[in-house]
Amino acid sequence: MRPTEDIEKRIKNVYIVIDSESNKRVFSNILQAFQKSKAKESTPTGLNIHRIILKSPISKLAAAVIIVAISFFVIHQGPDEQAGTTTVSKATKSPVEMMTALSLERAFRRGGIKAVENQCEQALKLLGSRIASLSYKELLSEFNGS
Amino acid sequence: MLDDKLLVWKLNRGKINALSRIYEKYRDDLLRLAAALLNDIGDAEDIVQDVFIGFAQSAGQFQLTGSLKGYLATCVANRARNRNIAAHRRRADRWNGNGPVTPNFETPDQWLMDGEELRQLSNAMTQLPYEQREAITLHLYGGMKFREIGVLQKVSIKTTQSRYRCGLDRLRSILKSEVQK
Repeated sequence: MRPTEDIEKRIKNVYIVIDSESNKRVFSNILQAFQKSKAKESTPTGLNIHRIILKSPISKLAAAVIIVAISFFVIHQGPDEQAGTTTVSKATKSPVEMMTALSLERAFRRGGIKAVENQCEQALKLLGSRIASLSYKELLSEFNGS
Repeated sequence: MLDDKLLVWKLNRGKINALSRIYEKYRDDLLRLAAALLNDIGDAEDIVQDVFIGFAQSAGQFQLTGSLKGYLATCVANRARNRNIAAHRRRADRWNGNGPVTPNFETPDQWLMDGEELRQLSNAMTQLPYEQREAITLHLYGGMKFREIGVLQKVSIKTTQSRYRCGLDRLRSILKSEVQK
């Protein structure tokens, strides 16, 4: 063994003897301090959760992701779906667009059959009173967007 | 390291057996460290007890960023350094009056029992400059890297390594000459 390793080993392994009674006394002092700190630590659950989130980096990240997801959902939900109104979607412009199957389905989801009826009425109003001059074929082809 | 992280995690959640396990795991090395730095068993015991009490009081908020052993060893070393500075001042006052103070190895209700090997090592350590003593004890008993010891001593890694090597060489020759006597 090299001299350095020899002296290192000698220093590291220097023999010590611990008195068991004194050891118990010392540990009980340490335990007392531990239990006092535990008693001080008992705070209301709300504050504990707050501290848990702020202490752990993973909790902070998870809380941030949840907040962003909720914000995204709230912002992109749109006022129509939230309010549950039966107004015609502002995205549709022409009567043809308003009468496509997709548009009518959306209207139904928003406000049921009443919303579909309203949308049809709106579309017809926009078309104007041309019933006399339009054939059924022309009317249907216009409604279907072709 | 993972074992220590788990123990600290359990300690922060109020598990007494985690505290007991940490205490049993590091008590002996911390006592050796303190005794080697101070050459006074009573002071060494006080410091190690204070460090464990402080650690127990921090349970619940303690965040382990490095090595637990290194953290506890640093606490012991800092307190030992302060105790040494205070002891030097007292000794300087006494030199002016009543002569040198002999190291204290006998105290009532002793936790760390004095042994021949420990006394020999402590006496040899007192013949080293304090920085060399600290570098050796923190590396061997605290398990600290030279870079970490350098940060504590506010010197470069090379200086720490040099202190360590020179300290060991000197210790070897002191202990060899003790044997030859």
